[in-house]
Amino acid sequence: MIQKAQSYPVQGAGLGLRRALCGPLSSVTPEQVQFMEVAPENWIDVGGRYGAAFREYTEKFPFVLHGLSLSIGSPSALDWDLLKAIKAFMAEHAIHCYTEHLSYCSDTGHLYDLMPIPFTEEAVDYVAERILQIQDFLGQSIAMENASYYAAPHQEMSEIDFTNAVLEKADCKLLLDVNNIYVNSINHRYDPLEFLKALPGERIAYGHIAGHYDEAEDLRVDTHGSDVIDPVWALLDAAYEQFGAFPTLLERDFNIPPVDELLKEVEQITVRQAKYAGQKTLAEKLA
Amino acid sequence: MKNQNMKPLAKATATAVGAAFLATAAISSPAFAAENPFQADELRSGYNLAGHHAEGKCGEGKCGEGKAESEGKCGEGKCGEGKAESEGKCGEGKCGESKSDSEGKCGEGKCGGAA
Repeated sequence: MIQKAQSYPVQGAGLGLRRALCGPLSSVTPEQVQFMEVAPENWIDVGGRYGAAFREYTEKFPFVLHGLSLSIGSPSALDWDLLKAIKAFMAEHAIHCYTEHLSYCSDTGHLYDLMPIPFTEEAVDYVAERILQIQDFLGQSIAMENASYYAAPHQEMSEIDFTNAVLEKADCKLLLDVNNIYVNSINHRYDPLEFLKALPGERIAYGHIAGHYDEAEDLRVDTHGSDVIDPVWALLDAAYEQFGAFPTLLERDFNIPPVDELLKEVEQITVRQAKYAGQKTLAEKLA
Repeated sequence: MKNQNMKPLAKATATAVGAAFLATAAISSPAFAAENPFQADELRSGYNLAGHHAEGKCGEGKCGEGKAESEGKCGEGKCGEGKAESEGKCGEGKCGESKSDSEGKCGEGKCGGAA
């Protein structure tokens, strides 16, 4: 092979661990679910039975952290207390990958939602500088997720140009959220395949897939509250075809179905990965 | 000390724990279904929908964390795809390809092609 194989922090198909899943997933094996993900904010300093359960899970499965409240685009200073806690948490549980959203959720207080960063050059510089500081502090690359957004304030450039400029300038990894591309492509009327193909595949750390809510024909909401729909699976196929079968995790936040149904969706990821594992990527074919 | 008011609470807890053990019979972990009512809600990356939307009917309060295992209340029939789509004014289930000719429900402006 001419190209160097990409190294990922985890392998295979993953599932987001939620408190409600601690009991139901306890007999699941690493053969069924190859890695798990949690929001550090939900688990740092958690003791008792949940703390004990989390320890069991981290000893059994490779984990990644997917942060929710770092607020990378916030006008306020970086939350160094949170970052210190995350660094210690990663060391404590031997977790080697930290990801966040390309968005913000706070200024002087927390808003508990992921707000859109204005797609401007100024914001690219600002956000990239903050990512660099975080990577320097943690001593490793972090991955940023292409976030879903429902408004684009002060837009001066396209979402894809903004995303790529931040990744390039911060020299960080990408958490490729396939469902977000689908949702955004409908809400903001662009071609999801074109967006996908313009992403830097070599920066992918892993991917996300999830269900969403159909508010209207032209408005989809990234809720993580239902099953993954076929067009989103098709987009994952396209992503694998383009970039190779990168590790991918199913996100499910509420309306959580019985475990066997969840595992069927995880298995769908595995089946797709197997399909594209031995194939040359589009990028390789074109090289 | 006997306290009449304590009885129903104790009974309810016993029932909840019993249900939890039934639901997780094959599992060695503690009974997670017996939730601590004082714990903070989990933060989630998914967008929170308010009011009459899917989550209002099937959100955490009813179908989320505490009762993820209780299929009867939160199964697909109530909260899954079928309903989520039918709730939309022009969701796929009603206006997608297979029924693109049903103009009555999905007028021109809303449902593309066939209308």
